[in-house]
Amino acid sequence: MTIKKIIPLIFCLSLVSLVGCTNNTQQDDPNDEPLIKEDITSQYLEINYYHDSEIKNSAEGLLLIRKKENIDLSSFSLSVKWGNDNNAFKDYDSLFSIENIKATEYEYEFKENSLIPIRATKLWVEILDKNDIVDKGTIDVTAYKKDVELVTSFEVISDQQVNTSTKGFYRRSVKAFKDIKENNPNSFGIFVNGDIVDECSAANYDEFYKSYAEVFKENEIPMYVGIGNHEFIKLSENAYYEGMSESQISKNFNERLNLRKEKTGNESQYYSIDNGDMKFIFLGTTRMPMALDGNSRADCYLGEEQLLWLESEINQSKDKKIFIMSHGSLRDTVSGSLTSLKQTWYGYNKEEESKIREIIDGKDNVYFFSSHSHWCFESENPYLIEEGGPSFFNTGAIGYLWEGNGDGKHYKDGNYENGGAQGLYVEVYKDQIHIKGREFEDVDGTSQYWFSNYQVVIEI
Amino acid sequence: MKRRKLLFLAAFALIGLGVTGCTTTEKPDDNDNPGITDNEKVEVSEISIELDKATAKVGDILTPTIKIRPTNATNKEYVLSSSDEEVAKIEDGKIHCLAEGSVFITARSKDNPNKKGEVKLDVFGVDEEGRVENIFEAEEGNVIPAENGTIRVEDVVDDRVSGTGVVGSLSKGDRIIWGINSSAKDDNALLKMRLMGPSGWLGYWDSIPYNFSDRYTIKINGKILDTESISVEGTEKQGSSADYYAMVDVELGQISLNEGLNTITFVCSNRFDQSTINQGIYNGTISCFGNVDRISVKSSKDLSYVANTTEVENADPDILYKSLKLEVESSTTRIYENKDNPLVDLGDKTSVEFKEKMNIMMGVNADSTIKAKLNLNIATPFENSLEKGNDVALKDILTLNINGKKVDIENITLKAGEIDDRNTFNVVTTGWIEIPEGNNEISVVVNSDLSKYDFKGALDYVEIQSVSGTLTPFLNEEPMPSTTYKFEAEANTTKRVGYPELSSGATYVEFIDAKKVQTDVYTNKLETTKIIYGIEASADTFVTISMNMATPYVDENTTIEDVGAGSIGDLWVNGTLISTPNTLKGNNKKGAKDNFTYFTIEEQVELKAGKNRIVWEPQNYTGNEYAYFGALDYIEVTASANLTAYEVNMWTDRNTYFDDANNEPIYVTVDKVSESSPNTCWVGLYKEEDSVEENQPGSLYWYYPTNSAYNSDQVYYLNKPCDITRQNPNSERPLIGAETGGYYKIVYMEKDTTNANNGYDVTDVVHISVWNDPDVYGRIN
Repeated sequence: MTIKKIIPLIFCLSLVSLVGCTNNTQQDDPNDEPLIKEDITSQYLEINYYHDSEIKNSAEGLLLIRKKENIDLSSFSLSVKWGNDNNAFKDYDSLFSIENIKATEYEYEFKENSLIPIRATKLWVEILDKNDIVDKGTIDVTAYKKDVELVTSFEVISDQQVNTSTKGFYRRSVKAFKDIKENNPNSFGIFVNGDIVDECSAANYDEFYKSYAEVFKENEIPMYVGIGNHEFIKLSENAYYEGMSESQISKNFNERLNLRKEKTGNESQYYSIDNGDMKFIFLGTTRMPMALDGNSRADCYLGEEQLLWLESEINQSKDKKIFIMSHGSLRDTVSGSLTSLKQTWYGYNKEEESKIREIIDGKDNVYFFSSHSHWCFESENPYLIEEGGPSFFNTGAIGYLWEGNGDGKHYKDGNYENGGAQGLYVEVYKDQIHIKGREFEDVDGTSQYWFSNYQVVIEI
Repeated sequence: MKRRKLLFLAAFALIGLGVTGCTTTEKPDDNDNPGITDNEKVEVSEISIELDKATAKVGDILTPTIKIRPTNATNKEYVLSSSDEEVAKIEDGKIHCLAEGSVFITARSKDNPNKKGEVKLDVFGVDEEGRVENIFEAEEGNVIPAENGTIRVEDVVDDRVSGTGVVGSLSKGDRIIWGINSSAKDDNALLKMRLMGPSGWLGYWDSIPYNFSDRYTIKINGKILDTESISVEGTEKQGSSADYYAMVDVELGQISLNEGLNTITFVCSNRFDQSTINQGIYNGTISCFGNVDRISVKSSKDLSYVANTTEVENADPDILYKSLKLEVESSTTRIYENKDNPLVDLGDKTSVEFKEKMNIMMGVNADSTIKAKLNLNIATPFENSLEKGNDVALKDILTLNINGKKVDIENITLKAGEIDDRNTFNVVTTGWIEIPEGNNEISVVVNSDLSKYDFKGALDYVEIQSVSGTLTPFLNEEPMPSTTYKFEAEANTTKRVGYPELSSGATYVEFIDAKKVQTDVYTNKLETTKIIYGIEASADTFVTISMNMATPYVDENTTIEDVGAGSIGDLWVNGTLISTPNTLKGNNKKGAKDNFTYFTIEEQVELKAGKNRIVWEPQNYTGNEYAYFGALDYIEVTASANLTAYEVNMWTDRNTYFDDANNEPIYVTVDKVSESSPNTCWVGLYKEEDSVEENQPGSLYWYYPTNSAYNSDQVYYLNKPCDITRQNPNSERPLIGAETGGYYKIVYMEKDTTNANNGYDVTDVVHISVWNDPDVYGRIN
């Protein structure tokens, strides 16, 4: 490296220091400084990371990658990943990647509450020639981390929509359970947020439970099941119940609910589970899901009794962490519900939604998990942390994933057989909650990885 | 550690030296405050970047203007970057345009790297004729709505849209005018427009395919630019919501620019007033008439935009119409008062007063299929010459036809004139119709019953208004006035299948209901009786069918109820089912077999030149048990061709078959063959699209009614149903089966040797269709 090139690097590093964005010079006291493996300096890139969060383990800030002058990197690709001192993680996907490096600089914004994975110590920036690394640089992030003490952990998945004909749905259900068993054998429980079957039939329920039993032969990790809309669907039926009387619809609802009760053991569509200072609340529809904003059989109706119950549960749990499992989302919270993008896969009519909002708004101890839309984690707003609470999380889907605006389309142009599967691992620490997105299966039918852009830290 | 401290110190030293290794430029405003301390440091809160223009050409070097807020920020240094250095590169604080493309140029504060400004730059190349593309955004044009127009500028942020948005919500007559100043005359400029064409919403598709001149008009300095040959493909994109910004670049062609100010006008002219489309996958309502992003003009001269430009004086109208007036007194017009009084002589008159059943025929030749409107200059009829009349629906007076096919005049009203006013003519206009290429006949046929009118109206001319193509009047040497032909049910030429001999003197045929057949295989396969009219037409013609039919009754003592004609049978024309939404009246009668209702089927049917068959097949759909199932007296066919009855000698048991996968029989009956050569008469089953009279491909099955030696079972079949699918299957062609459903024809030929064209001369045809849906019959096994 010539002097001419060293100077810019030093200048930039120091400039970073001047604006309070550290690279690796924050610790001045020689006595308590941790051992930090030295960063690797890229030959071709200037890499600056402007961390901007007071929350430990949060990555919030700006990563700027700038090409050095007079260098043509247009035939190379760029990848930014989490990693440890030695290499980028193979079990995490890229935070972002560029196929041909043509711009002068690239920026990547770590959103508020984005988590530095526990195992990560560095950001890895790699220049690749197809799969070969031709240059790399790292940014140490240990200064922004702290150790945390695990209290408990659980998983939230949804929308398996298992049936006896689409093999992919069953396969992905098994795969998700297997993944959880391998990655978190001590999990408190697997919370399945509705739509476990594609349509209401005993055979479909049996198939779903078979997928669980195939992995958990002795119920090693308990499973708690919520209710969606597909539990009430019969595909041969008119989707808008045209020509059916209200009493007939109600009769069908009760019959299907009874089948569900028989198969899941759940006496009620809505219930709660206590675990120390945590409460898990399942919400569920109390009538046949009807059409909602152009989507047939899509809505959920809680009813007055359930809303009163919810309010009471929340009021009684002011000192607890409350995890709400709602199959349908609320408008303009997470992917699939964003009305500005003409997405309509929220779960409640406006009247009920406003009642739910009255109960949960402003409560920073409420964590609202929703499903139903199948919208993938790559989409806009996979999660939303509202100022003062609550926090909203899209759980993805195990059966198949969806993406796009308006009504959307198959994830990565896949199909039902290879539709992708995503879900969440939740780790509750003494003073933090980590929500970790997982790709249980990509549309290639094989790939599994931690989803880098859906790793969340919330202080409690 | 030591090394890090060294770096820190070195950094401060280097700052002192003023080294700027990263790409940066001088501070935009040299307003340092000496002696400032860290406590007084003012951070950058905003940075913006501007360019003189949003477009440049290859080779240009641009200097951006950077603004930093607040103006007293301590450190105003920034770095520039390009999103694609192959298109534009930053060198020494300037933007070097290297290649065609679009880039974003970013200025980022060094003081606060979270603050940045960004601007889009389009770089255009110079073509082989030294022309550079100049972009003129639609939202910067002079946007002028029509009266009650809806055009407006819409802000849009979308990678496919340049500038700040589009001009959308177009309605007919809305326009955009761009004023463009050219440094010199340029006869070789090229005009292009970027827009999204007409599209549908809720119909789930984006831009439709369209001919540019059908939808829009472009004028250059007031003169319409010929865009007749510009066709734009549809996006073929279907989703559940329309994408309004699927922009397409449309090359509009070469234009001439004057030195100085030029106007380019875009008009949403929609010259055929199209608001729906029915074309392949595109069908539904057109809810968006287009969104315009920009125009671009490639020119070797320097062009600049002039805002708020208005149209030149005496500009072309938005739509250039062509007009051909066909006067009633013209030598190419023929007027028939009725069949017995051909050719009315108008003398010196320039209009003709209507008489019942009058035919006014005008020949016109079209050099291509032409869309046109017809203007009729008509004097309004009135009932009483002593009182002011009322408005009259045109359809109450006449039908307007092209080649015998009715033109829609449903909503045309003739305004009432003054008392006893027979001389005031007013123009009424049809919607857009198509005049086929070739010779055509436009005919005005006066209705048969205008007895209530004292003055039945008059016609001055028919004017054809079109926008393209050439129309020429011609004298039709053999016009065919609209004539009504009657065909009796009891006539010798009418074939009655499944009926006993009629008693002598019978004037109508009592219906016999369909019966179940093949009951060992199906629960509900029916075979109907048939009343078959063989009708030979002298030319292709559209006809109106009327029927005189008796209403059925359940018993003689019960008042006869109205019943839909379609509920007691089906009307088939050449193998196509025709809807008969007409009602047979009860008329409060009981037990009357001759309780006839005369009804006319509004929808015209096409008969081809040559042999046709109109068939009534009684079938009880009502669920009632009738003691008397009704009867047919006659049918009347009104046509603009000669129609003669011929005796049908071949028929099939059904028109449509539903169990081809299980080799359902197709029974053909021939009851008469050529007397002179019976054994050369044969029947073949072909695919509907097969050519038989020329280069015939070989029938799928065939048999001889009389020449039994050639039949697979060697049975004699004259006057006997023959399952043709069991006869001589063709080993070289796919036969009827589960995979090969569709349309077929049974062809009767009287010579079994090929003609000069390697085909067979056809004597008669029955059209059928064959499908695989045995649930229709309720297949048992």
